[in-house]
Amino acid sequence: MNARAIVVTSGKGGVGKTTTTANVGAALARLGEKVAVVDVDVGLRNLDVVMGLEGRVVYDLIDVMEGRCKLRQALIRDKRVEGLALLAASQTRDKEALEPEKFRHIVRALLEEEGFDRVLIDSPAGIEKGFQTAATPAEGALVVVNPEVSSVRDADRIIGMLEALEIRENYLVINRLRPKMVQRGDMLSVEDVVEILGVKPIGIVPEDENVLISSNQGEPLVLKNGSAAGRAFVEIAQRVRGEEVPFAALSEAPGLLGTLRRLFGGR
Amino acid sequence: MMWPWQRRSKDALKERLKLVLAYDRAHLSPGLVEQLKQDLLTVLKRYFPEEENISIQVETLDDKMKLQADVPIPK
Repeated sequence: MNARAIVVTSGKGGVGKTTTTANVGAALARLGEKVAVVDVDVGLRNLDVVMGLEGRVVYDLIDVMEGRCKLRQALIRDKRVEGLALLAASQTRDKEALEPEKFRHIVRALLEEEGFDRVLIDSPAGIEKGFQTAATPAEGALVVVNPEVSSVRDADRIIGMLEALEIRENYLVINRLRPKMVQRGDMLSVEDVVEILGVKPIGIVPEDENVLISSNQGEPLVLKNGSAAGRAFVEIAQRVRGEEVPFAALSEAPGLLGTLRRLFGGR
Repeated sequence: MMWPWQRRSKDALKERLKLVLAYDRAHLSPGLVEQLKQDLLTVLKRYFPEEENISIQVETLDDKMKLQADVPIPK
């Protein structure tokens, strides 16, 4: 992706935005990028706990916006991965405290002054001010969608809103796919979701209990070895960086690989 | 085990999603279109009182929606 400021969004809550932000962020850092992950879910912050950095939050995004600290003071460097930093949301305020233009400046400062290669913005659920603020500085988006009715509908709405904001480098992260259910026709396939939403996938993450286990432990999956979801998140990071990674490994469903090859024009 | 005559739940979902997204994208409420259909039918029946095969369907084509009335005109 050319976009350096990328919003991770979905419309619907609970589909895996925070998990995606934490894991793609950590994987990008592992691949050598300098990455800031920013939580915009003011009042309901969770990126800190999913990443296991909650004990180190002193200042937050709203403190930076309101000038109570410098941007650098609010950045929490993840000691497990070189180049990864978190800017936490405020837990004691609400989304009315967000100022989209100030947020744009903060993201620009991360990229231009603090030397980050990439900023991943964890958007709150919903389509209101929290989402609007998160999307304001973004040049591209990862739209996280689960293959089920309400998530797909909300994703469509969000994609329309991203286009209205002139954010055009948008990709789907199809999360919590259950290949066996797809095989027996009880879950939308990757092809179905892509056909309905008209946006290309950048990653397909199978349902995997290791996601919950790693969030229990506060350690991003991609920093551990060997889980299917962890591998999928690493592949997303590789594709964000422009590497050509085939969708092969995750295809339990028949015909998936061929379809994806076709979708990506023989890539 | 899946039998060919059993309807897969995802096919039903796909149809529902395509229709609901068409309404969403057009900023139309499905109930309003249903009312429009009924009103159109009433008017058409007034002009063709003998005709019983008048039908109105909503179709979706990519991102467009089409309301189609079939009125066989008696010779």
